[in-house]
Amino acid sequence: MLLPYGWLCELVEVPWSASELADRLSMVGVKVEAVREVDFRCPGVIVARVVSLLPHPENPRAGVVTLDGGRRLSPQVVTTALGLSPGDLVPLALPGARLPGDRRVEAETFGGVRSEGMLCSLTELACGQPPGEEEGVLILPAAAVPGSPVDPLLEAQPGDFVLELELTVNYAMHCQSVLGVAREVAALTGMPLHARDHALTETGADARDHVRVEVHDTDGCPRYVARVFHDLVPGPSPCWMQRRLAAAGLRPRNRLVDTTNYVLLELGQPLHAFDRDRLAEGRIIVRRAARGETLVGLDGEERLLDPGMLVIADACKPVALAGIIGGADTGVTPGTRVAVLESAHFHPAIVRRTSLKLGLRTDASARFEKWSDPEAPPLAADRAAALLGAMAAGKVAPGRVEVYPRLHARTILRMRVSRVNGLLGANLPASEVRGRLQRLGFEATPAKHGRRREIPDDTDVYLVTVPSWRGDVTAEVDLTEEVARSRGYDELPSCLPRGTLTVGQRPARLSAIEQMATIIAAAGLDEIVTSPLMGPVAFDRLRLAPNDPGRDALVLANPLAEDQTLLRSTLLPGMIEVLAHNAGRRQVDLGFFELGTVFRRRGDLSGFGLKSAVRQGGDLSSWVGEELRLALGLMGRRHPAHWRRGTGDRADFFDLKGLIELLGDRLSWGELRFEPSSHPSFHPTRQACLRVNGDTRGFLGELHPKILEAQGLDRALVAEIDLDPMARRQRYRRRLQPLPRHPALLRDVSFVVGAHLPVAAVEMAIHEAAGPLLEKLALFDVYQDEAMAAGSRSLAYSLTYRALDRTLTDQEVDPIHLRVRQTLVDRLGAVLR
Amino acid sequence: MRTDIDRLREEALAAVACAGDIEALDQFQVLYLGRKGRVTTILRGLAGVPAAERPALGAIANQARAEIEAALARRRQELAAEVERRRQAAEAIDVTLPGVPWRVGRRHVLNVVRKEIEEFFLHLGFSIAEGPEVELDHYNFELLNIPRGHPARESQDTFYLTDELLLRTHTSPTQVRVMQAMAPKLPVRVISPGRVYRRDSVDASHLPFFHQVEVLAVDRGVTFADLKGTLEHFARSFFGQGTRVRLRPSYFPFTEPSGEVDVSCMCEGRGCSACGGKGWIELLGAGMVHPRVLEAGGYDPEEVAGYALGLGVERAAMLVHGIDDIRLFGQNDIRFLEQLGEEGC
Ligand SMILES: [Zn+2]
Repeated sequence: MLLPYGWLCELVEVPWSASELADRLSMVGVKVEAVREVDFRCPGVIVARVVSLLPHPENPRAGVVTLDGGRRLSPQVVTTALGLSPGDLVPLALPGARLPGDRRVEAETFGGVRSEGMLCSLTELACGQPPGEEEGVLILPAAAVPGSPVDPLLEAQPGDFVLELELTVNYAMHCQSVLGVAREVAALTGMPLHARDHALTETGADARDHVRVEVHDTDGCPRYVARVFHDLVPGPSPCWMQRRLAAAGLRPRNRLVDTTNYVLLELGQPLHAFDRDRLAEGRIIVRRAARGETLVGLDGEERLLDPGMLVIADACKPVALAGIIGGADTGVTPGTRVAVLESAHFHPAIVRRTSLKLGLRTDASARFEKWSDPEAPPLAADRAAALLGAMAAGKVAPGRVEVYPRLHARTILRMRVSRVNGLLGANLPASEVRGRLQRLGFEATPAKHGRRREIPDDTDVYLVTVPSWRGDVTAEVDLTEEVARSRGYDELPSCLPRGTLTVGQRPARLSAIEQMATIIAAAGLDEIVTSPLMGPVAFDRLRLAPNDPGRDALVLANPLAEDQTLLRSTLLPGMIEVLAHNAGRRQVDLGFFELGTVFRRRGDLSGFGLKSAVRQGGDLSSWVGEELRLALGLMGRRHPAHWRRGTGDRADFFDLKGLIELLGDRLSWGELRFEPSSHPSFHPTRQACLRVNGDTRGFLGELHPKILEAQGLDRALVAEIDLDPMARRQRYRRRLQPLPRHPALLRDVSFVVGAHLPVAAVEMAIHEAAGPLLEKLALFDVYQDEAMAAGSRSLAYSLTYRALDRTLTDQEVDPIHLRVRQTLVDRLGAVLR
Repeated sequence: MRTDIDRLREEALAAVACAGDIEALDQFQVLYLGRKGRVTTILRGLAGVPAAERPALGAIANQARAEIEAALARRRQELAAEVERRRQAAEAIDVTLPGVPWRVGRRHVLNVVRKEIEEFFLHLGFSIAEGPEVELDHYNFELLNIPRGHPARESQDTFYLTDELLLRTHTSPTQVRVMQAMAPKLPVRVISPGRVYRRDSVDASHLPFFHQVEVLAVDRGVTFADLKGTLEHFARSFFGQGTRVRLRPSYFPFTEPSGEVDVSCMCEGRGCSACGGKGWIELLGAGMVHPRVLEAGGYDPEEVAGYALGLGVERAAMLVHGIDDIRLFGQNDIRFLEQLGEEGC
């Protein structure tokens, strides 16, 4: 909301500059986002006399005017404003002139005729905006002197300020008007609002003779006030009003519309004007819409109504949606003779429901759906009447037509001063609590008050009457906040939390995550955080088949973008994107990891019953799985090129595998197995599935060549591991194994076997043959060359034999080692070297 | 004879002093002191000297021999040291060559900041609780005093999965979940970090998802003063000792009184881009837990009170590191990660 500072000063004494005021308002909760200066002066606009008028040679709707601009200036201007006569005094914006809103005027050529400036309407001079309907060039009073600036004639002062308010929901209920903010200022200064006398001259037939009002739904419309204006004279509103509307961000239109907007901004009460002659039988009926009724709104759109909606109707049809929008057929036009001005209080819920249902929000509905002051309608109607009367825009018919069957009962709240202090941790005397509330318009009286005049200061319980404009205050805690903000949050005490000591604990799952991240980072990978939202195209990029169960992801009902329609069910797309992003910037020798949540649909959400979930204490795990995953990604060289290391090795499958083995070891996952697999996202022959204690927990390998190509990657290794089962386990503390006290014996064996034979099978055979004395088996060389038989490779192992209880001798180990060698030959067909 | 010995001694000492390497010394050793060396020969020749002169000549010869031996040893040491010096000179390295990098990865800055926030509250006796990201409307709104139709629902544009299931718009639903799990036990001191979602288009200050840390304390006699004290200590721990905290009234449906918390800008009010010249930076929202929320959690608001605050992790990270574009967090450009992450934490 934009609040002109000068307007505020008209309602209340403001002892502060605009920027100081902004600070003070912010500190009581009326947040001021910015303070801007507005300037309504028009440098370069002078008074000029019309000398002659000629038709434009090409455009029949334009004329060419020659003017006397004083100082021997006789410019010629093209204008579409007709109806000027020689001798008229008009405002002329010379080339280089500046209109409010920073609009510049330049010399231009229209249809071959040079125009040395522009003749201005009042609206253009007042706020720089295009003239209103039917508005012509402003005719200046005869006393004006050609060649003199127009600013003094229009009382343009240097700079006013506009405060840009950012109101929270509760303050929007009572501060979204100049009056609302003025009340806050009054509470701050302790000075009353300025008394304002809206002198009103009423003439002609009584308002009741023009219009009859009935309210059939007094819950939806507890109060309806109408005022009638007759003998309307169309035209622009006065300069000062236009300037204020423009400063508040509204476009001036004409006297009647501007006045309703002005009162809305000033008092927060939305008004609507009907053309009396278009209301059938001159009747206004507030009722629920009948099924099938429609209304064409001022915006030209036709809407189907239903009985849940409240309408204003005449004798035959709806003419407005209560509190939201007027009808196109019954609105005021320049031809309107008699206008009926509606100033009503509607129930917030019915306006909100209707507005939501029709997807239609207007300035009026935005206010009604929060709260409008039920005591404001007659004041707003009278204020509008006074304004219209003063600008001679029409005559005010005597009296208000009002339907107000039940007097609005102000809310009364029970308040305990002890409770207010208890919540604030303060010790404010009751007199201060009461005084602060009174400044804000509340009235506090002791709950048990005898006839004594004096209220003893130790009185604890009060009955507090809430002012009618404070729809946001409904409970004792709300009063507590009023007291607190009036005192100033900064003026209240502060202390470190007190009470019983507690031990802060991080759940095992989160500790496991931290531990894992620390290890992986120490291994040289950088942590990434990627988007939890993805689009179905990401599954295509992962080369998942159309029926791949991996495509089953949770779908958003109202997504914002194509690539954010699903909750991610895999971390791979994010990892690949980060690899590609960095590779695209020639940052290639890198490793990344992410510890993140993926989402799995576990139950049928269409049959999702809120009640059953709530009954289960809000446990959603049978419908939605939120599972912890680890993604790893490596690309480029293991080490960046360096003078001592040379250009280094390229990371490959075994770097990735080694990292996973490290994690499994450090975090005591249990037995890890890596088995060939056929995941569509990986290189068909360079991938494995990870089994932890026999269960499949993830995949690792080179990305599929097609994915690499599509992403502009050279070679990349990725893994995705389901950590949930491991992370949920209790922390495992290892028991110390006694250090070996007896020396080990080392033996090597090297041999050539079929290359198709997995090393895992070789090692299993060795272990079986060697038995329990084989402590460690280390593969220290693998190679293939042309000298070997095709499809063979050479493996070299070092074997560590050790007994825990004695020193092994050659005599004991030699036969075992011989058995190993023999087994390799017999069972695996190895050729020993 | 005596002069022979003297001459021999002079000659040997001079030769040793001139020896250029260990091999020359070895030769002199043989030449003078070997079994057939010249000194040995002289000593052996003493047998033919009259007995009366023998002791004196013997002493002279032995002394000469000792001198030559000492000179040889000394020279040997000198030459060895010289050899060592040469070898070391040849081993010289250029210490200004770049060191070999030990590559250690880093945690993402969001997790570094989140963890720092967590640690502060852990030390204060708060435990960590987790809540689901896919949440019930009931917990995200209803139980937090935001019924259907409440204006606050509009300002929090929400991603829905079904009518009842949504992506949580804040970490606050964990407040109710934690209280429901703990009631009637006291005190409740819990923080809940996690990802939250808003239906926002991506720009420099908005992402459709970001991270928050929720803080909740419920106990008998908890007051607004406790909240203020907690905030002040947190701000000083996080932003530095001199940091000042300012609380402005604000509105959240689930707290009353509610406030927004500003911290003093590092520019000390002189004006900078971080604070827009105001000298204060908006940090977080906080307040006293609304009685209806306490009731939803299973506590009697007449008996207990609580405070809650919700802190944006991205916002905090942007403030302390001077990041002006929230999209950088999700881009994971190594140049960003390397600058701001922290190792081994
Ligand atoms: Zn600053």
